[in-house]
Amino acid sequence: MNNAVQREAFISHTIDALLEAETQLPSDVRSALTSAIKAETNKRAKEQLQAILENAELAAAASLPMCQDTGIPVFFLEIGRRSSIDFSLKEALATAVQRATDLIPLRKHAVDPITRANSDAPLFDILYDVCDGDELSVAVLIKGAGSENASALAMLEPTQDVMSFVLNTIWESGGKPCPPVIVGLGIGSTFDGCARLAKKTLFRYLNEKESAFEVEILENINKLGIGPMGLGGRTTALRVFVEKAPCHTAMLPVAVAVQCWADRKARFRMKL
Amino acid sequence: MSSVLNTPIRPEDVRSFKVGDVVYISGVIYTSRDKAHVKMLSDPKRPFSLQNACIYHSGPLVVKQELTYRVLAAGPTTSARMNRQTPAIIKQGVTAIIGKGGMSAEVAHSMTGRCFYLAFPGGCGILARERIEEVLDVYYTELGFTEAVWKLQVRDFGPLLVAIDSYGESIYETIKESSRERLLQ
Repeated sequence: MNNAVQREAFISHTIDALLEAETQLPSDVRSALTSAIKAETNKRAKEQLQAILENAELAAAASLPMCQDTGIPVFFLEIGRRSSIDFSLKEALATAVQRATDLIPLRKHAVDPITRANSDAPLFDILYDVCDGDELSVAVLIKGAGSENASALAMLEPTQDVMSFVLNTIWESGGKPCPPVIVGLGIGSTFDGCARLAKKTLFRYLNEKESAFEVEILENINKLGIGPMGLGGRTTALRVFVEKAPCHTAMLPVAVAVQCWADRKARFRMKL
Repeated sequence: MSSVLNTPIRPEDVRSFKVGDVVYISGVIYTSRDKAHVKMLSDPKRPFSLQNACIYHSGPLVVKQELTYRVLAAGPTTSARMNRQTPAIIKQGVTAIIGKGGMSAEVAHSMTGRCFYLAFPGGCGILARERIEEVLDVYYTELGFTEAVWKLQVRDFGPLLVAIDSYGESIYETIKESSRERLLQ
């Protein structure tokens, strides 16, 4: 493929992925929410979850974003080391986001961080990895401000308790990130490394096999009883994902990346 | 108890509800979030009245179509970011605040006798837009569409859960306390 055709195909697939992520509740999330409704004994909690599913149906039928906070797209690019990419991925993603903003449409909510003046610059983030093969794998997740603002990072002392940090973070955020949430935990690495570990876990699917530690954290979070929208109930979190990496003996970096109930995501692959 | 309230909502209307009640609102609501809250309080020429007004914490997804505006999704934003400005907003006469995620104990205290907080399910942008009949006006467009004040005509906007009532009761404070106890166990 020549690079102009390649670039247009990439942009087109990216726009389709953004449309899917914004308007269609992922099937793993739908299953998890349906199970949560059955498990809830609290009438108010059931009603909040039922409203979520009803909203998802309406959004899918109308091909409109489920939530007015169309968020920040976070792209995870896994680049096959034998692939041949002759265009700027970053620039192409910017173009895709700009076109998607007009097409879907997406909300314009970018500002200068200091002056708070509105900005037209496309707002998105990119994580990269290089893998085997000749394909480009693109996953996108939509991060709304409610959940992103509930996320937290700490450079703990090596003997401090990770579980306490996670539970306190979830307790502090209460109903603000639109529970039931998905919690990504990154442990180890460096200051920014643990945040990337945590964020990357949010690309996983809810039906992936759980580790004993993930189950333990999920149970402890749900014991808090914060519930859907912080109005009480058994389902404060749908799933916990943990990713760890070795760290320096003098450090214990921990990041908690919170994702809202919608867990908006989509992916595609291209051969290049 | 489940009822339809027509705007303007007066303090005595608010006082007939308690936490756990469900209401629907018909009439006029004003969206207002971070920047608009600051502007509403500092603008001597504020182009709309807050007396017995209903505020909706939301930055809707709106498109301009020729001479009109079309709301595509309009769920609530995280109300807690407006905690600091809300007591002053209530002093200006606001009697109902719709949002999600809750507000502080200080806000709950400022609501006593005169205002309540109504929770709309977070992220349910399409459910909200179904209840919006028309965009009547928009103010402070220099803030951008997300942060502007949208004057919306709504019918049966809800179901809205009374989550903080005018008697000082707050579901959020109750949950905060019970979950704090479990956290410390």
